[in-house]
Amino acid sequence: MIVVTLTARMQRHLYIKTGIISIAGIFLLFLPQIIPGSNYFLQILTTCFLYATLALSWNLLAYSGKISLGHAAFFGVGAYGSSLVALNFDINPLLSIWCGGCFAAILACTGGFLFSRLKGAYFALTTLALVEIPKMIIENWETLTRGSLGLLNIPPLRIASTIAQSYLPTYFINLGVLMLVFLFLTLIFSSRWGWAINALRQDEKVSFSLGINATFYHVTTMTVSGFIAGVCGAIYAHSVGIIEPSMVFSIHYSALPMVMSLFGGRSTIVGPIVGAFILFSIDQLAFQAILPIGHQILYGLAIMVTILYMPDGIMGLANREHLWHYSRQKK
Amino acid sequence: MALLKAEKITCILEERAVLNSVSFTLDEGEILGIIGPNGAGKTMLLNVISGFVRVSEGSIHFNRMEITHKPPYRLSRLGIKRTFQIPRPLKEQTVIENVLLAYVMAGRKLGKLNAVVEKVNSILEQVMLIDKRDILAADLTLSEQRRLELARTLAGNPRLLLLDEVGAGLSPAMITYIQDLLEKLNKSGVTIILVDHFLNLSVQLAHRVIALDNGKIIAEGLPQKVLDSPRVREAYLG
Repeated sequence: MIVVTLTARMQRHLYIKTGIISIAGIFLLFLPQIIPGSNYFLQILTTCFLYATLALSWNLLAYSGKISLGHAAFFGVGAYGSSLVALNFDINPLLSIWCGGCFAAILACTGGFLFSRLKGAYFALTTLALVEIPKMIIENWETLTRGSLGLLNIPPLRIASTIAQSYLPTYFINLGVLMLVFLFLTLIFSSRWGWAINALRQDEKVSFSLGINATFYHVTTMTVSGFIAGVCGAIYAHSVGIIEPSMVFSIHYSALPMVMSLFGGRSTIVGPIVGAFILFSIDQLAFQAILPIGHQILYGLAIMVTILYMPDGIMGLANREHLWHYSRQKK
Repeated sequence: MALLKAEKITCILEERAVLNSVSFTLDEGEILGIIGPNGAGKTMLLNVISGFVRVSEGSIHFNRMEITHKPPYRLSRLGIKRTFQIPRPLKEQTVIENVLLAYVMAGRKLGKLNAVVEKVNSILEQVMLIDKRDILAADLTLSEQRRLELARTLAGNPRLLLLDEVGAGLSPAMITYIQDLLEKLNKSGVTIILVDHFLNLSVQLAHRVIALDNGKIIAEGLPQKVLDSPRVREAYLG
């Protein structure tokens, strides 16, 4: 895969992005040493990393022009896949989370093939229905998955020399996975593949005329997106310890990455991360205290404000080139 | 040698034959003009050749290979490049990025990056867009968008160029310029099909002209001869 960042504009974007995120990553890596002991903020950050990764996976698919309403399918399959592998074969959760990702990728690849011709709302509705298939199978395959009783005693993620009950291993693993996914996507977005899916989003017909194989790129994008979402689900399962179908296949995990990506700015790579950090922090630190039951109203508000006042999200506002572009159009 | 050979292509959309048993051949290095009144099937013929619309009957051969039901991206990789009647630039990308995309997706080895940029710059110079290099494609005028379409096809290393109304909406001076450019391209070995409603390019450029009306070929031959034929006059003037 050849990395193509030819114009000055793209090079600048790439340097700024990787620079900022690397610095932030290193800072976050040492943050637990600065804030000692069990800290509420670190726990929130841990979940932020997970949601940011999930939002990035949703955003990858959106970058290729397909809106998914069913990322919970991949999340849930990843969670169940990894838990079952870890429980039945006694494998270290650090390895089994990747197995979970692979199961989700298989589902995503199949879905990608079947839905590759669907566009827009039709694709979105189909993905919404896709969630039900693995959910039904898992609910009814009681000998393997214990059905709606769920799985218990899922082994927690552990790195050598850390205490089992601490959330710190999860903190580092989530951060690591987020950084890994971010760097991988940055690389992809500036490669031939990224160019192709970017063109597909903007104009499918033109993409054909340039020689872009739409089916191939849609299927691979969906597979990678599903894999990442699956890994997120797996990490979630191991950090919670108990899962049941209605929990991991809930619409929550389809809607959340979408809201976060839209709020932060889709079709940018930093956007979903920013969205996840801002929204989840506000949710946990402010709304949870004010409205203990209905605190998720925040996500509904966020999506309304985004669509009405900043269709390109926060990163769209921050991007000066875009502002300049719009002001010129208005004249 | 015939580069493109269309045999009895019929295309039925919504129970109407938009192309009715159209046959023609195109030699390597030729410029073919396709003229006809509105709704004659000119653009449909390009859509069929470039694979965007499937034919109901008949066959198309390119370079002695059957391409009748091949998807458009395959045909594009074979070197059949097209422009669109209404320009479709990728609006979120700058001019040079649009052309680079076409260059990268043509599937050749890229080699040194500086050389690629130089090549793309020279293409932009050819279509006089070098000043607009770093402007978003959405901000271009119609004339510039048409030239961007042309630049994109040039970047794709074409063997057969399908140009849909490439001269429409351009100033006379620009049309003369495009004419020279296409002539140069043709001399370098690119075969061209020109769809031309207003006849401003095909009369001067084309070696041969096909006149379409209601999806049928009504006249074929040298440009002036076709224009003078009573059936073509009747089709245009009603």
